[in-house]
Amino acid sequence: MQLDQTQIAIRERDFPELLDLSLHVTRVFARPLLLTFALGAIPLAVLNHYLIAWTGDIDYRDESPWQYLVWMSLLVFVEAPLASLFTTAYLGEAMFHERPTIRGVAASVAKVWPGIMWCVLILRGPALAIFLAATADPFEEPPSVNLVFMFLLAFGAGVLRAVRPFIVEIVLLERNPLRPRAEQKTTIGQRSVSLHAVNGGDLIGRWLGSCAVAGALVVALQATFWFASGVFLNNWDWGPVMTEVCAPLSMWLVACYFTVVRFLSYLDLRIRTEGWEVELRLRAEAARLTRAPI
Amino acid sequence: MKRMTAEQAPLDSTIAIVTPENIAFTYRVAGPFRRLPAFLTDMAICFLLYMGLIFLVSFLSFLLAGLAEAVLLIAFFLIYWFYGGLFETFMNGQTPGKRLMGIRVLTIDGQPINGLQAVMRNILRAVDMMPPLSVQAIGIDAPMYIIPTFTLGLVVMMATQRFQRLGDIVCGTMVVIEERHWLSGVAQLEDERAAQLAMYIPPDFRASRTLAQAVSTYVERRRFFSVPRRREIARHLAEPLLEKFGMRADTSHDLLLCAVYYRTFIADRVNEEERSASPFAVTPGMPLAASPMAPR
Repeated sequence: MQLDQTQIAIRERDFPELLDLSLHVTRVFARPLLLTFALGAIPLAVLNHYLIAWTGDIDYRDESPWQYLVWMSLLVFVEAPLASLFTTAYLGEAMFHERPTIRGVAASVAKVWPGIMWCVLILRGPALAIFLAATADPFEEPPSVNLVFMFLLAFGAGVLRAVRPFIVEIVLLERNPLRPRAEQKTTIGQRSVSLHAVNGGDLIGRWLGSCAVAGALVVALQATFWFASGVFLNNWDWGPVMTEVCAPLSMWLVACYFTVVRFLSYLDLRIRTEGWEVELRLRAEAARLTRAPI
Repeated sequence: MKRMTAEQAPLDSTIAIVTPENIAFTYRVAGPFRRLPAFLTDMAICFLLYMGLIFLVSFLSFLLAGLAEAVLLIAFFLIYWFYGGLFETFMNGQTPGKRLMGIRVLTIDGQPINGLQAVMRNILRAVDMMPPLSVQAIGIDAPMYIIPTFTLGLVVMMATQRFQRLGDIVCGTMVVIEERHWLSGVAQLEDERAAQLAMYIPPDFRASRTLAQAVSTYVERRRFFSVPRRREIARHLAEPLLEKFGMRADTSHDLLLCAVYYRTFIADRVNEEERSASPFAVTPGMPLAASPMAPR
């Protein structure tokens, strides 16, 4: 592995350039990205649908499926970091011209399961979100009180993700331990503070920008599915397929794209604040020096 | 003209063009998200123009009488279809929004665009805005598909190396970011001990190109890092260098890299300048007897 030869050029970039470059990266790695993301997202998508299917069980001529769409949007929003685990692990390994296998990616995710369980599944809210969806009362009028709690959970998870966006990368790629094992080893919490604390304002700004772009992309994709359904199937009505298949699909596709954006933003933050590209260059040069005399 | 390609070139938003004169230019291409603020700025200007026209025509309605509506419709048509084309023709590939955001339209060969290209790529934006969304989506009960989604443009831009939308592909154009480079000179070393430590580096040491680049990158960026981070980064290269130079293991890693930088970029350059200035100069490190100017 040549540390200064990476798949993605290492340099400082601003936020619009990161969004643009993510499109390039998504195109080049489309197949493995979709595969690894599907590995995390499909089980969650099936579970979500199973849990909230009762909200979509309506007569489309009289009612709107707003409850299903709201529940699904909130669930996907909260679960997106959990679904992105395999994709992030893949990107981390593929960065240095390696060809990671699905099995290798899954193994590298499994190695850090305590950190994932605590930091991603519990602290970031997916476990609680699934619990709220599972315990929502279908017959409650007006709409479930669980939905209110779900909004609060999504807000809390959103704030946490705005100020500490790169926890998945810290857990998976830096492999810091959850609890201090040796004197020298930095824990996930300490690493998160050292990486995020000095860039708070910038991170929040970028997160708000991401939310705006993600929202616009979901609407655009959803509208495209609707248009395609009208043109190719001559069905211009919003029906169960649009609600239960196309809408979640749009959300997960955008979540996949934003996994790439988040990964590149993580690299960018490390370049700007920690001179990651300098470290890679020095380490590569050190490796050359030890191989050959000056 | 040809595009430079590199088999193992890392992914980036830059593109290199080589002219027939064999001069290479590197451009940073602007993707959809870089272009979006410029587009929104231009839309805002168009909106202000529409408002201004409505105000003007209503003010002059007593003069125009029945022609007022026709004047308005023609003006709207012209602004909608030719605002971008005209500005890009007369402002060398820029609209006010693009100038504000520091981007410019060029041909894929890096040349300025002509009027036809400017007008065509703006007219074809209507295709890139496809597919449209019906106004029913915002609660208006009429199947009018007029809200643009830009999905087609986004997908096409994603599929091309230069982030070209359909209008760009048809007209052979691309949008690039106008670079403003500041040339930085030799980095200032605030610690004088670097020069002193440089004297202990073996005289026959010559840094390889990659080593010089690595050390230079470190010294130029080190002022942005905390002291512990400097120690952490410098350790990787300093440890093998200390071993090669036979220096004490407790030598400061940061200082050693600064010393190598001083030796490579400052001391050697000063020596070269002195050598070239004096006709009787002696090469440093060369034994006096071996010098052509040595006394016999």
